Amino acid sequence: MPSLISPSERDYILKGIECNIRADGRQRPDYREVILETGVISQTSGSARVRLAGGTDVLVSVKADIGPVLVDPETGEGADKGQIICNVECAPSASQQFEGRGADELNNELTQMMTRFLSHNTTTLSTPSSTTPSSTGAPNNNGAGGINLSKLCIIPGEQCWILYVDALVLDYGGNLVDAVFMGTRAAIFDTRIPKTEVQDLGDGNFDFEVLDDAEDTEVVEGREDMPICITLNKIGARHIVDASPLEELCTEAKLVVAVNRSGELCGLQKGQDGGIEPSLLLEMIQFGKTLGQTLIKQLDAKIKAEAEADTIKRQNGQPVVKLGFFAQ
Amino acid sequence: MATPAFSFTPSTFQKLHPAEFFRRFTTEGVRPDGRLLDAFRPTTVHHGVISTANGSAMVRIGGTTVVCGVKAEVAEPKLDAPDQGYLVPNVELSPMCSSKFRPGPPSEQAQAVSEAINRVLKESKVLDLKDLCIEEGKAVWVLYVDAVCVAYDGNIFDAALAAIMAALKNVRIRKPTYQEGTIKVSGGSTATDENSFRLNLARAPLSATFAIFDTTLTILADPNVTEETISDGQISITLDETGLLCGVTKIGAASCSQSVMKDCVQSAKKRTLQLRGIMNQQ
Amino acid sequence: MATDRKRVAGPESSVAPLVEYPIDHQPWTPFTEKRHDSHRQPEDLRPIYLKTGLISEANGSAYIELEKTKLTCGVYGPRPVKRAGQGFSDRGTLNCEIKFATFSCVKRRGTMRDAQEKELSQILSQGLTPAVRLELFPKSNVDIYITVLESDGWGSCIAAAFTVASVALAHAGIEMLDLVAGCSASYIPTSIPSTSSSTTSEAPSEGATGSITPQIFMDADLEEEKFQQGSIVLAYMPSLNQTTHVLQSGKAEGAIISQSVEHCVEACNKIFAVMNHALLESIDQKTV
Repeated sequence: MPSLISPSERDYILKGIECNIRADGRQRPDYREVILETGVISQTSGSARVRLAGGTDVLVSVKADIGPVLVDPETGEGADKGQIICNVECAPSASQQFEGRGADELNNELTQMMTRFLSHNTTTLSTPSSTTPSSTGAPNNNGAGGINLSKLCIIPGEQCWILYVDALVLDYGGNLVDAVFMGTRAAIFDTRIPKTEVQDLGDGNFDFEVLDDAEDTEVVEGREDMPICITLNKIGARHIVDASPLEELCTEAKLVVAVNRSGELCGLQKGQDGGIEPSLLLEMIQFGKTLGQTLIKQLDAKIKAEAEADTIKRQNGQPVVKLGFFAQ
Repeated sequence: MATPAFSFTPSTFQKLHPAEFFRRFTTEGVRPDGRLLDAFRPTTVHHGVISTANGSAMVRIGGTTVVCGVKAEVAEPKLDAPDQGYLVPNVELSPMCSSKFRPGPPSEQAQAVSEAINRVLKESKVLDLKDLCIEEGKAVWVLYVDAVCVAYDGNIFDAALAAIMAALKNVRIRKPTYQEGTIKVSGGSTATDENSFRLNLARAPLSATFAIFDTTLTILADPNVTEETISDGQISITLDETGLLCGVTKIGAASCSQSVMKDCVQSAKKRTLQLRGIMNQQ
Repeated sequence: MATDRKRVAGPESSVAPLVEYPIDHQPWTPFTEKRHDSHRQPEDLRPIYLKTGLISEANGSAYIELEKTKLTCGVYGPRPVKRAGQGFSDRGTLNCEIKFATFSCVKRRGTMRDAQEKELSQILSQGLTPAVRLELFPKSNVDIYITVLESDGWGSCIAAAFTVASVALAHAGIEMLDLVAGCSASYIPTSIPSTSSSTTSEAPSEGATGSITPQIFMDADLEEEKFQQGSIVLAYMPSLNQTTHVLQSGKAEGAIISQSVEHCVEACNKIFAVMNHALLESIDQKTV
């Protein structure tokens, strides 16, 4: 990951983008090839590895763990909800800039963005009677993150599933945000949570047991509605997607658009130190939305095809061989 | 002193020789900002400025502004004091209030002021910590008293202590109920004497700070930031509402004779009385 | 919390007490009344009080108050970069730090800067940088410190931080292309979702919930934010017609977004007038 760019190189990229030809031959709205693989780490509840041809390499793992619910003392909210805890880390080997504490700011930015986009849950104060702490009302909406957190609760007010989502950036080749979110979505798709059985011990006490059956597990509900992110880089008067590291250095302002499969916007964040005109901003949002929807379709098809291939292999008694880490 | 061959504007002179510039004023019995040597800066106190806090106050002494908020939380008491709550005063000198302070952990000055105030509150038994008990051995109130310096122009001790005392006076805590290990307080409707309680403050210490100049034996009341930096030391006299001494803190290497000390206490008596009047106005 | 030897220590851990509401307690809901503050229309902002020059030691400072939301900001610089190993830079840098006072929120905040504050600091510097002529002071640093004394609404707090910081920058005499005004809006459904009354624990079908079109509430306060489906914060340079930052979270349809961006731009123009007024006042004070 270079940190500086020469004026002539900048000029070359700028003029190229103006003519709709980028350094690697792509056009402005073209995405690089996405290589996606799920179930790459056996010790996790779900995992995925995403590579953008030409560099960026992100490994995402999901680990389901049991922990106490987080209750808001003021409103009593959260008693019937599981949690998602996100963390993004850039490996120091990915770029010289990430050495030491160099990646701290980027790690924090990505972690916070992911937390906001994934676990932002819309209100559950659906009924005016928030006076009753035992929340009997059904959740009115899954948040922007899509995942139904209420389904992750085991015993309301006590125990729940906590999904730890950890993304590790192995290699940096531009467009990190998109890759991280694609990987996260795929990893959640791959996640299987053991079933639990809750027993009523009487006098208001409950106990539960985790069923130890590898075949009989649950998927994360609402995973289809998880958003992915499209990063648009404004260079000159134009905007491009899936920027390479050099193009990122020429970027005046970038816009991250989170969108789900039904085309709803789930988050928006500007980055970099430039401004955008409001009309262009709206145009970029619209563009990101359309592109995101098509990309989600492609990704879903990929995940589905992989899962189907695996099942067929299993049925035929063949071993399921993953390409693994060093596959190209 | 030889007459200089060239002359300065007053502001240049002040920058080059702050101490000398200052001395010329004080020998005339006046300070660069127009105050007499024993004059305190105009002081204002506002109560209840922060609604998210259980109690709050803002104190301004000249250019120094301190906002203090009290937050009440529940904790387990110490084993050796099962019926006593906690009172945790802290003063924050953020990099926002002056270029003197850097981001990061509290500076030495902030630590010194926090500790001095903690000592005053503790030693003079301002608050009976038993009042903060909810259920003996199980749960007590913790009062986090945080004084944030918004603008720094010297004499943080007086301003912080006044803000903390005013905020403590302003505290209202909902009456708690203890049930099977959980503490509940009633929400909704505005706080009244029926559903909440106030703190019973046994004493109300307030302080007056003076800057000491060793060479000229000058004593300046309520030093501002420039006076603080060129002074040899400072002395803070803390008195309660009956005029009883609650504490004396001296920082810096300045020496302080008995008669000076007496003068300071006399002046502090007048000042704290005046400050008490301002605090009780609202 | 780890023991902090540099502060007066309290107990190792403490929690806020649970709040129990009486049965007759009627909290505000968007279904019964228009807004939490009944004097406001959905598009109305809270009155803004903006004043410069409260911190005598700072190069520039400002204070903003939107009813309960209160922030102060101090600007120091341009001053030489102190940190070693940063190398030469032909442009100045903007260093923004925001800190919530421990008593500023309903829940007590920690004394250390947490991850959220770090991210907010980054967001603020991203949103303010486009307005500042950093090329004029190479090798230097401008420090912007913001303290939130009280927050009544998350979005409005960030928006106010943009506003107050850019006024403080201008007050410090730092050359800027334009002022940055910040504005927030929340999307709040104003009718009770039809499925909410069902007592079954079964999740409602997605189609039923998507049909409610939320209303845009400008500058929502904390009570209103509890009901929000999503929110947006926009930082905007009114004279240059440029958005310098946009931060949106929660689910919303494209039409709502474009509408709220328009509303925010409009509101920013109003805030701009207040900012100008505050700055003019500070000049008047200087000349008198």
